[in-house]
Amino acid sequence: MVRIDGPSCPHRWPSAPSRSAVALNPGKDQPIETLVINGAECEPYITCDDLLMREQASDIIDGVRIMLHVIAAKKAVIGVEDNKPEAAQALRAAIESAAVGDRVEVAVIPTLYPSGGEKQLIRILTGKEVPSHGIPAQVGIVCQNVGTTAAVADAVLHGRPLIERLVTVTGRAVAEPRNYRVPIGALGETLIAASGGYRGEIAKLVSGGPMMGFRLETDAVPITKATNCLLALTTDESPDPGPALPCIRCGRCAEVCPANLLPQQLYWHARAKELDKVQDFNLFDCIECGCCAHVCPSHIPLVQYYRFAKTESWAREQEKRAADHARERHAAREARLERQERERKAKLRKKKEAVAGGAAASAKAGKAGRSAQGADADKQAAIEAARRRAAEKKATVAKTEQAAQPQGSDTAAASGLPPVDERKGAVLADDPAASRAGSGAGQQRAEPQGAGQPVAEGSAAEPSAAGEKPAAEQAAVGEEPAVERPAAEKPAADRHLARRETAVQE
Amino acid sequence: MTMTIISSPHSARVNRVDQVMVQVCLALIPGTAALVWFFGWGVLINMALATVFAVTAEALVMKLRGRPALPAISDYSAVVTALLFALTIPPTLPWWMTLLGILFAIVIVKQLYGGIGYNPFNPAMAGYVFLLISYPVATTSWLPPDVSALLEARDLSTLSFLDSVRLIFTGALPEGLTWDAVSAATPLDELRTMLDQGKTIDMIRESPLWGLFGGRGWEWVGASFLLGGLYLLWRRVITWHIPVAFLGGLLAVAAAFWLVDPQGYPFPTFHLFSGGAILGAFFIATDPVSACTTRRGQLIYAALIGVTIFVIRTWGGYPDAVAFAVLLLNIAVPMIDQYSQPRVFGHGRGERKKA
Repeated sequence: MVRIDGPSCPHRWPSAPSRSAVALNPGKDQPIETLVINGAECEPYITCDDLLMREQASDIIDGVRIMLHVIAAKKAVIGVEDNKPEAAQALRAAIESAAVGDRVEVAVIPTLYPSGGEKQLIRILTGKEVPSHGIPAQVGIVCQNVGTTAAVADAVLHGRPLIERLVTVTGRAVAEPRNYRVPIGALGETLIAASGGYRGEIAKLVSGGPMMGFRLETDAVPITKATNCLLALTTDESPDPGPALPCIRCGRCAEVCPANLLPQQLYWHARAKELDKVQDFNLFDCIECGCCAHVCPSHIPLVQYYRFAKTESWAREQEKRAADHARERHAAREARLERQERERKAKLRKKKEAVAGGAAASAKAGKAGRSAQGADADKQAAIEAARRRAAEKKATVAKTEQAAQPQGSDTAAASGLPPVDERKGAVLADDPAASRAGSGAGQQRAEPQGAGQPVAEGSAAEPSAAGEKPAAEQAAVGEEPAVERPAAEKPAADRHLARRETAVQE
Repeated sequence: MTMTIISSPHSARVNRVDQVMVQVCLALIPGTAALVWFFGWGVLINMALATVFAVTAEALVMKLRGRPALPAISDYSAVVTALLFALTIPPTLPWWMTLLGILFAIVIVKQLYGGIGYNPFNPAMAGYVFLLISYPVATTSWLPPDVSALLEARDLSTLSFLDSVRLIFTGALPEGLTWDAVSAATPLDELRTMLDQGKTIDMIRESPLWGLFGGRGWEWVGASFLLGGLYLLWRRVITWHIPVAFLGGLLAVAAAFWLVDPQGYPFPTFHLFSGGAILGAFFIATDPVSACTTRRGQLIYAALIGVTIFVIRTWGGYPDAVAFAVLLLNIAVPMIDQYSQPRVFGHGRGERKKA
């Protein structure tokens, strides 16, 4: 963890279930001991949670009581960083006036980034570690942000849905930094204008904080329920880190990693695209907090390498799934054709046997006649029998063909017949699968929208910004990770980038 | 509006490689001053020579490798290597030996492995060991501590700055001086010889080379380097793990043997304040590139260096052992790193990582 200078909201951490509905329904077999309320701002600069706690402390406490009731937890702990004494004071006053002091307490914690991370805060407040790839309910804890808590009170007590939120507009490139209560969907440019517009030279406009926020291409983007901050940074605040130097293995990254990972090992393997190795070093426990890159003396864009390795791993997994799926489909088709062939042959054999049976019977009858009537009649009968046999054979063949045609899709296709129902069915069945495999990007991008992440222009602009990223970085940095792909693979690269942005937004 | 395109974090970076290296150089000042005080100007001349050689060699190799030379030079890593190398060689070493050692350190040990960040061995120590093996006499003949005082006692002129320059560049001693008069064994050397002759520690301590708790003069050099080391700790350039484990390991083994046989083994602090132990603990073993990266690994790595130093000093063929011990443990670094990985957040305590 690192102490970061600068004026100092936690809901964009990539942890498992971000939606409150999921978090508040842990399941019957999982008794919840403690409700942890996250009152630690997720990043420096951001002050909207601080303001919320100061102004709406009683709403928050109401929300806490409702949630305590719903999840039947014994107690609630509100974690507030020690740089927000007024917020802690307001919460304590609200607890007193609601007379819930025996069940709800305020815990003041040191202001150390990233204490606002869900798993980090739980560890600080309760000493429990949420298992890797697990959710807090597994250790008997439910964690909610103060914003959510106030929104619960709004929804339950006043019947008001979440239609507005507090947003911090700050950074030295903004004339008058402020917090605003705005309806969700308000445009960023409106907020910037309300703050007196830009001042001096702006280096970057960031949605979110300086450590994990993502850069906006334009301020004409709407505020979403996850937008806690619009950050306009000057060149002084966010200088170009310059070209990355070789890693000198100093280990500062490992010192500050809140997940206790070995960032430089991850970096080496991500750089070498050793995807199995990065996962051995628990890449997916990385929360992309940015501490490692912040302290790196060689100015290596470490987080970018991890995102690259994550998206590559996801892409590989997806390719593997697609390949598995294709293999299964192929095997199923082979089996089906084989079965049909077998059935056809069996039918044919049956018919043949039936015909052979008939011929034998008539031959017997002929024999009996010959002994009675003589050679002439005998001859006549033989001719008759042969004729009948031929006719019958013809009929059988025609019949069999008729029977086989609708089933054998290959013959149907080859003879140019209109596709019969079964084949159409097969095509239809294949279709969704194909589209599933093909439009992974669309799905991935849709996910954060479902979770209330930036939509419309914001997310539409972002992937394109990211699309320029690797090329520009490469030009600037020289020995950069091979994030850029050859032109031929462009669509695939776009998909990865889209997913990368997803990771950022989560 | 054109803005820098870069992913998070957007904060200003707080550290820089060159700043780290400059801090190390600054921290070397007290120790260097003490060395100059006791051993004359030769130390400074060597440092200047080594720095010029190292930076030139680094620039030339970068050019040969077809890479920009300026960024490589301006991270000052070559300067740090040169300074550390110069602090380990005797102040009278001929200039061409310094050149050879530096070329070996920079060209072969550092750049042939890929330059900064990629060298598995500490370049300064490898350069020193290269010289030690190739020219054992020249690299072990130190001046006696506070040479000026000794020379004055014999009514001779002191080794002035010009004398030192002449000595290093031409190998010519000032008139009336001979090598036997100028050079002396280091306390560690002396100790070994005396012990081999069957003398006890009490008898050895009578020697003028002994000081209060270490070698005469050397103890003050050690203390000055300790001061610089504490500065590095304070500036958070290094962490306590390597120095503490290094000195702890050395002290523990030395104390154990001393307790068993106080006449056969010197007092433990002698090991700490003689030779390059302090310099090694704070400046050499802490070289991040060739050291372990995990915290537990650093403790193991440094403690084993301390133990190895004692082993080589006591039973080995060379008087001091810091360089050998560091290089030996450099070899073990990848394995130690592999088996000393920290428990990742959210992974069970007993859970072993498959790797």
